[in-house]
Amino acid sequence: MILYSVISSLHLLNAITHKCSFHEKTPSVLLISHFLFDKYPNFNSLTLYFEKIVVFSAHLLPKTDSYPESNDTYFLDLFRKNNFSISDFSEIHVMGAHYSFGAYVAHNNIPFFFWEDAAGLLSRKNIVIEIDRKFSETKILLCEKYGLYDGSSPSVIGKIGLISAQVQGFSDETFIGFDTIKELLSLNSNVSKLIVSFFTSVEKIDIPLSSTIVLTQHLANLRVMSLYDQILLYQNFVDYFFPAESLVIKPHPDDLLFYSRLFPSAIVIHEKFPSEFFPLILSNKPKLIATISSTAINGLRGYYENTFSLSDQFVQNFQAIHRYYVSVLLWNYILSPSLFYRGLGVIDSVVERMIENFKTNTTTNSKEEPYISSLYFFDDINVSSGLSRDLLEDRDISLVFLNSGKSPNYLLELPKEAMLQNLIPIRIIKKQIKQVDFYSDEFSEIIYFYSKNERCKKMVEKFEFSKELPHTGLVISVKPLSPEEQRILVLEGILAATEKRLQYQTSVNSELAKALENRK
Amino acid sequence: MRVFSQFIRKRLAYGIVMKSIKNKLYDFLVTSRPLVRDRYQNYVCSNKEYHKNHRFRSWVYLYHLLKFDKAQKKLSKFSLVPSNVSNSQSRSSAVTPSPRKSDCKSLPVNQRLRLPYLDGSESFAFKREEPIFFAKRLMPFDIISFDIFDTLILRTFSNPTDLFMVVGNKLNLTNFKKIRIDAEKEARSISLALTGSSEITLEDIYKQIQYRTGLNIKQGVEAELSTEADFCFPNQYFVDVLKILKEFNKTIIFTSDMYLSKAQITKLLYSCGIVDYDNLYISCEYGCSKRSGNLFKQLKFDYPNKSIVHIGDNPISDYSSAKELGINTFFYKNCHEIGNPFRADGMSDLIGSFYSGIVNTHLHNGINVFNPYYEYGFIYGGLYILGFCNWIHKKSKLENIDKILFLSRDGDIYKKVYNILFNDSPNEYVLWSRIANTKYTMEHNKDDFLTRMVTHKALSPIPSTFKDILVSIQLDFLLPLLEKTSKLKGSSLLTQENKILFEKFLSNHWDSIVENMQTDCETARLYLSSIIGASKKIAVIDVGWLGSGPLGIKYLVEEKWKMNCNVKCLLAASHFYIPESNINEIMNEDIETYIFSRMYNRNLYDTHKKSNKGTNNIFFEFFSQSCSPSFNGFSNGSFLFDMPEINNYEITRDIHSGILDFCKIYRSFANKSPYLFNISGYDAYMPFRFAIRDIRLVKSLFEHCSFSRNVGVNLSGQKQETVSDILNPLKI
Repeated sequence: MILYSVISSLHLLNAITHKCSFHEKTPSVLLISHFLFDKYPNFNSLTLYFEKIVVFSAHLLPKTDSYPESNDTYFLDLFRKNNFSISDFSEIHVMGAHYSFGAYVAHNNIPFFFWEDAAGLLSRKNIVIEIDRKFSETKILLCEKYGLYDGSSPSVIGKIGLISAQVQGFSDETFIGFDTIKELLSLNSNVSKLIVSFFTSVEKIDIPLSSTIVLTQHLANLRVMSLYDQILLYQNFVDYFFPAESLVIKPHPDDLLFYSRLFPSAIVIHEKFPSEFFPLILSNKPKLIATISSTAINGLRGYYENTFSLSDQFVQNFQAIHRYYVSVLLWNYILSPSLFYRGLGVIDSVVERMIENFKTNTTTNSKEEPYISSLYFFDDINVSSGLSRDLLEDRDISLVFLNSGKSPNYLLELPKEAMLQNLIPIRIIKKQIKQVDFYSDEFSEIIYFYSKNERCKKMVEKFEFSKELPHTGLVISVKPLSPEEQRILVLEGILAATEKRLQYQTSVNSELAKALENRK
Repeated sequence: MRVFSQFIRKRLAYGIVMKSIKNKLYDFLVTSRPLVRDRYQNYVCSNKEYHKNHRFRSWVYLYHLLKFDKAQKKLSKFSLVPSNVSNSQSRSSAVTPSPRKSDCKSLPVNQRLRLPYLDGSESFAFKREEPIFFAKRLMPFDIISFDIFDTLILRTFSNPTDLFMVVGNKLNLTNFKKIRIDAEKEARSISLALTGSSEITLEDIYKQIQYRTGLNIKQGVEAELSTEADFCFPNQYFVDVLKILKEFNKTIIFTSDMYLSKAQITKLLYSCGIVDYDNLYISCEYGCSKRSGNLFKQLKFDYPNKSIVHIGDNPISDYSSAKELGINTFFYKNCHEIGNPFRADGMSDLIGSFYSGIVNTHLHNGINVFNPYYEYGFIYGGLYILGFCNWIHKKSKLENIDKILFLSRDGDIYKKVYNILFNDSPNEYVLWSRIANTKYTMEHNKDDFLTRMVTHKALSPIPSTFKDILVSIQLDFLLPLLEKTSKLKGSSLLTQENKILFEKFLSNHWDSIVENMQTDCETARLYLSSIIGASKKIAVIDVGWLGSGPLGIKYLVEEKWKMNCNVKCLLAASHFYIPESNINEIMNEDIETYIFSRMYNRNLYDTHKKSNKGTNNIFFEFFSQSCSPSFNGFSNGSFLFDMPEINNYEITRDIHSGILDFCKIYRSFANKSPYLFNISGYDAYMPFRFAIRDIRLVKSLFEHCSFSRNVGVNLSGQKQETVSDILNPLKI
């Protein structure tokens, strides 16, 4: 007999597909979390696949990093009530091992198959940990102790996941590949239709030809950010990356954002189903599938040529997107697209995508000869590791300091004369153009351009542009600054950097003073 | 006779026993339950006559309150009642628990001293569930019903009937609030007698007002509706919830016990931007109310076999009545009920209510949680700065002022707020300070120079060397002379013992000191001339206290430089440790003060001076600190600055952010009835007076902050005085 335990909709789909593909005739029991029990009132129809369905409480909230003995009592009682014992099963498949059942089997040294939580997460355990961090630190300690995030528990006899979705260089002797979409498509079409029908009543979803599908995440619901930040994040994401696309939005099943209101011209798929059903359910093949950092895209990569994702780093630092855009504009303005750019401390996926957009959407500037050969983007870096004297002296290289606020100290590392002579501030002005659903601020942002190349500096001093972000409700623009304005902004930049540094030093000093006081 | 006296004694004993039982019962049923106590006593106080004549009805109300209280305790896990986390907070806070919980508990409610929230952030202490998570809990229901007033839309008055004062102003009717309240009661009584229902319309109310005052009904109704529209605004908390619910195609209805018609409420909702809903249930349209339960019955009848949930702020109408009919409910505790116990008392009626309304709805709507410094600016500083700026504007118009000069550093926030409010008077931020003033007016104010540079510095807990002092005022050329002629070493500390010697030394070289300052004084002239330009009359603004900065500029501009320009000195308040020091300037109206001086609002002057051992200036000045170092004057044509109080900057930004938000919100509503800008200095000070009523609030916020009482800095030690350096010796 086989036991599957599942927490999320994707787990449930994996369990059904795995059962149909590999253990069609073997009797099996499904442990279904109370989350899914609430979500699928029709869960009894799962008896088509499993002999027995048992609902269990998945909560794992230990008070300390020690295993809560009550968890054992709970499962023993659950098994007893349902007339089976854990020893009755020849195979145990645990999906979402960082919940109560995973802890139970690991603590009791019961051999089990560890399934990755979502495509690609076997090699990215930090994503799961960061989500758990919002709820319980002690849970993280416990799960780390038992190896429940990456399957390093000694009780694990095999780790099951999607190999193509793992980080480069990932290898594991006990790894067993499982591609949900591939397995789903290889099943008899009636069987796969039946599986789909459990999750959604919709058989086909019409999407326009050449559309872009955006897979969203429930970031506010996970308390990763506030509701307003999530709205702003998606407004920025659409305005910068898909301004003129025919957009289809597929919200995460737990995402409560009002996308229909925020993006009136987009089609919003309100039906809740795992995105692994796309090949079976969509009327047309999308031109592109995009996400900020949803793991769902990892499973779809093998079936759609064009996919695009940014990163978790972007989720943390998306407010810097205007600075990124203006930096890339500068790159386009002063360099031929074929020339070199290098980013230090910046989110490469954002820069690369923006550059890609420029290459495809705009004609190259007719510059006879580029003034410099390469442009460096600096943001969240440690000066000593990133900024060398050679870079500052090279007339063939220019630097853009995005100055997004985390590490502004590098400005202080520039020689004072160089700062005043070679640093050109670029002020990004933000102007509100809509009243409703406006979640941005209107504070100007400053980035700094550094070059010893006079022609290049003159060119940048004249740089101006304006861009409308209709969903965000902003017009962002850059205008040439007078020499006085430039000087003031450079001095303000130095002052801000000095202030940050002094604040840091003050806090270090007071901590040291406290420590000394305690020692006395 | 004996029998009679026994009878009397027995009656008295019986009376005492009965009174004791009654008191015990009252304590058990009312006093011991905070929610019941606050609401019941509020009800009794607001309806004294009615309560006297209808005891039974009051008991029925009490019965409902007790039921509600019991239910509240059960549902606290899920309701939208803000969870007061003050207990847990106080454990980690340096501040001892609020006396609301301990010190005053034994006193009757009306005798308790009202205090500010003392355990950190007020908005955090009463935070609600975030809108997204609340919306999530509404998802299982088919029909979602919202109460309208004080739930879906909010008013900027701490008591809804205070709006009638503004209506009365529009209608130019004296005592209108009372007239309006009485008219509503009367209209309800008549309706009850005639129809058996006390549901009425706004027109019914104005019929009664017409009877009392002769006011045209239509005119009255329009005035009230337009005033409601002016001061009602959407509760962003529920606006967000509605957006989410609409995305998921939920049926949204609004339900209200109200005398406004459906058309009138629709218009009001429209003016608040709330248009996306499915149905509206108004008691006066249906002739039945939520309170009686009949409006909910109608709702159930209209939506059979649907799961319904109702959200509202009234414990009876929105909670108990719906619950009794099996309707699911969520209680949204009224923002004003949460905030009012922590709002300043003693303010004038309209400004007090309007101020409290803005603070309560901003802090407690459930959208944001603010840090304590933001709240310090918003709650206690916003009204003062806004009122001061409005007073400056009025003065400048009245006195034909050409330009307003806001002196650093207090002028930073004044100027920001001034320019939010007005765009019709030129103004400039001017770098100036006590030390700059002392330097450039020294030939006129030798005593001030010696007092600040010698007497005060000798008293300072952070000692200065003679070298520090001389360098800080560009008198380093005197160092060799000091050592030679007075036997004082540059590296020695200025003390009480040697201060006479130092003072004598400075006096002996007074002419060369004055001479030495003339070059920089000329730079100061050029600087101020460029700012003043062709202005013939300027106003110089500062926080206080003696007014030496503005008076110094007045002397320089009018007397020393003879710039053909008159200078008016406007201070927020005036108070100095030598009370009569600037009495002449005040009496001559060279200095005018907004809040208090020796001659004006004397009770505030005395409170400010005497309470908290005279330290209130410090906490008052935290409203107008600036994120820049103090200006030290000029040297060789350049600006000189003191050591920056970097560790205060984040705090200052937060305080300013709170002040600016308050002023923007206040302006957005007061623009519709501009007389609300006429904030008296007395009212403007009340929130601060409330904040310093218990020193623990300001002490916990600022004791670690830098605060320099003296001009100049400890250059060699680079050490700054902190608030606790000042408070500790005073045993505060």
